[in-house]
Amino acid sequence: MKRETLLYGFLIAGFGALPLFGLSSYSLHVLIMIGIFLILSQSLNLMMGYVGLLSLACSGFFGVGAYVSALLSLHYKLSFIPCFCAAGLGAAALAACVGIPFLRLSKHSFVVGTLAFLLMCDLVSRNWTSVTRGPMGLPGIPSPRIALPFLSPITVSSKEAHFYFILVLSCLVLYGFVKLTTSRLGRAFTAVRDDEVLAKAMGIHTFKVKWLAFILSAFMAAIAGSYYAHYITFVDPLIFDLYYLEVALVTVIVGGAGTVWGVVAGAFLFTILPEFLRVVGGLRLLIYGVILFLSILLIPEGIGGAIRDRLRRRRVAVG
Amino acid sequence: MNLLEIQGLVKKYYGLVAVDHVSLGIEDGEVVGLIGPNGSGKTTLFDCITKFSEPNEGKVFFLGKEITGQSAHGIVLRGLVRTFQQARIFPKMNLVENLLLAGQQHRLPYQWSNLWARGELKGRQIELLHRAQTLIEWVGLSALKEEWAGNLSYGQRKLLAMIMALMPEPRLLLLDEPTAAVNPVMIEKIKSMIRELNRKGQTFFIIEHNMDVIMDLCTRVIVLDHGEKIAEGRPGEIQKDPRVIEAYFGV
Amino acid sequence: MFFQHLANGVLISGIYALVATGFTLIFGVLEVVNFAHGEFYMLGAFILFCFAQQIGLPYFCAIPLCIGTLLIFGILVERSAIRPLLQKSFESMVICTFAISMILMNGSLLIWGAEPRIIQSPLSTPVSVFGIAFTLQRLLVLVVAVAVSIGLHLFLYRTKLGKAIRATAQNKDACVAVGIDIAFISKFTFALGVGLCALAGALVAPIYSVFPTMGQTAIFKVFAIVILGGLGNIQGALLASLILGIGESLIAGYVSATLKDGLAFLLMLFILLLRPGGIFGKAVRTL
Repeated sequence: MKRETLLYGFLIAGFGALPLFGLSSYSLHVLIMIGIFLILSQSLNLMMGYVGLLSLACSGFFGVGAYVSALLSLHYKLSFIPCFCAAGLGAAALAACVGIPFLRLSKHSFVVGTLAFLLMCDLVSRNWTSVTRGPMGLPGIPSPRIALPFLSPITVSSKEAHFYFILVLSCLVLYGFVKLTTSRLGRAFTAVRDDEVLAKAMGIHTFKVKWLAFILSAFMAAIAGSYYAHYITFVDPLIFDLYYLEVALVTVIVGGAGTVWGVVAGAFLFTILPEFLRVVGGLRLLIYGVILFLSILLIPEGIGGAIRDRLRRRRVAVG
Repeated sequence: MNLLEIQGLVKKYYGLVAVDHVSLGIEDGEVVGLIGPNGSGKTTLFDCITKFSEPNEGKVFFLGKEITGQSAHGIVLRGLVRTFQQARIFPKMNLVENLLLAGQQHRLPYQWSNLWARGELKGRQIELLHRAQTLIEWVGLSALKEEWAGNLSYGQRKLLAMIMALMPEPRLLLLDEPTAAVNPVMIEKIKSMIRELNRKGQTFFIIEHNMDVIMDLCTRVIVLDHGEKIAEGRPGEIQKDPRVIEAYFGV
Repeated sequence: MFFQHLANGVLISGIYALVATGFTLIFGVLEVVNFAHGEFYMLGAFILFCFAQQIGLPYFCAIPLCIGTLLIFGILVERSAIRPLLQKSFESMVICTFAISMILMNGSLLIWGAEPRIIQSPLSTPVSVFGIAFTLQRLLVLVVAVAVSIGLHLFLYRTKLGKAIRATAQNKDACVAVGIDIAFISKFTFALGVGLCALAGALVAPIYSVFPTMGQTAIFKVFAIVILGGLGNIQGALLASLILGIGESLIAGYVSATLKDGLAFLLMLFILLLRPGGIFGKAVRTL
């Protein structure tokens, strides 16, 4: 236990020291995007990898979080933390309501339904112009201003400040994620995933477990979205574009659904990769599509999953 | 008072009657066998009692209270536990984790207070761990307790499935063909396990095809054929019952 | 005026029906939620564009070539992507079709660019019957849709292959036990579904413009239709297409054109909350 904590400490300190090496603004931007995609991907990972439900709605909650946070800070002039929390809780509440009918569907209809949810969010954001200003979007979202007790408020506006903020946020989210998945509820998640009938026979309220996972996944996606809105300072219906879902999906599948660190590695890989390949837009997604296709065909458990299985699997010959 | 009481249970599938107005009772401390030719509705009956299948008619009472409207997991929490014909276990968890899962859900709901009620939770965890270790030793799987359950042989999985069912200290245990597809040595082992547990007061309701097991273990046997209860009584009587013979051999 | 809207709606339903029927057929028989379905529709339109506009073939010659090309493509996709994953989990298959959709859409974007293309067809001239205006092209779509629906019904219920397909949808293992070649059925059904898309795309191309993201907008409507009609239920898909098509047309006519897309949204919401199995009540794969 102690050795692991030390290792993590070094890693975090290492990351924390990066800006001191004089990274360019662009590099910092890439690192910040890694952080955001990390959280979004873990949200998808929770549903797909741990409960075994292919929920494509997390991208929808990402956008919902962004819009809620943006609207609260623009219209009610709230500082960042309240907007951030409201975005998360609002999405969680939405997920709680939407989850009940959705989770009653067969697994086939559930997949179609969650994607439809994403498309519905897109539709609403485009047409509810009185609130969302439609395709024109919401510009001018203020940079996060965090009020601290006894100290003057911090405004997170420079790239370095944003980098540290997302570093802290990602670490907190990952910590919470690990704690969740190793808790009793986390065990219940994997039980439902591996054998729902058996889980019921063990006394697990499988519907409630799935519902809780859906809510938590929505919360995570929404807080990522909220931060994203304040970082980019602009939100428009394109936040519901399939692009975010596609990157999250390829991250989780190739990284390893059901592993924590596989998805972390995947987030790094798929955010940095296009920068090295200097590819843009359509070609990037085309390549991701091919990678996703090959991955699901050849290594469906992902690289992280394959490593984990290799470490755990031993043939037992006794009869 | 009967531990389990079933009144007029009916289950239909698109016109086929799988369970036809079955009524029975199980008393505390009994080992009751459920036999019948293939397709006679035995597993379906178990499914209806434990709500893995929704019965069309009839009532089920457990410990004096009606449980017909309860959900599957709710019934487990009341102490009515079942096993499955295919030895179901969680393949990607090790033996101890499987057993902890089987024991933890019993009677403890998820509450926010669990996050900080560390003392009580820890105490219960230790108790469960201890029971898991004891059970693993009892069936002789100690050497494999860190193994993923998916790596076990079929016979070993059957043993695991049985001790998983024992973890929550059930009042009534429904076993679905506990000795199916296992070698004779394992059959004896399972039989002795059931005997020993029954001596300590565990009540069993067992579906079985293996007549030796039924004759050796059961105090009472119920026979189903085409969903109907056609006979009930002591193993010796059942063996000679003409209706039972006809059901099995069609003579 | 009402009849004009009604007529428009019915014509739209024809398009929806062609695409949605293919989707629900593939789901019913293969248990595959084909996320790439919209992209096959889009490809149908683009391949037609290639044959008709770029190569210069007459429209009616281009249609069968287009369908043929896409049928072959569909069989290739089934062989390389769908078949290997049929044994694995449902979720893996869905992700696979999602990946295919990504590849097809972005590939098309790179090949043809995002600009909408227009295709001319000899039937683009407007006609007026009993005061209702439409183009012969739209009428062709409707006629084809009706013909296909009837043909499909006859095929599924009167021919041996059709019955084998329905049997596979209900119980694969039983089919294998009686000697039905499941592999062939899968290939055939998938190709049939893709072919229907190609037909729809080819017919619709001269009516609306052709652009790489048209599959995405289509798939939303398809989802609404199949959820409304019940996943796997062909009669449901047909009825739901009619409801959606006419409903949208009426809303566009009497309320507002921008709100018509909201109908799909509302219907889906309504069904998911009140009757998750679709209008006919069963989320079971029935044909």
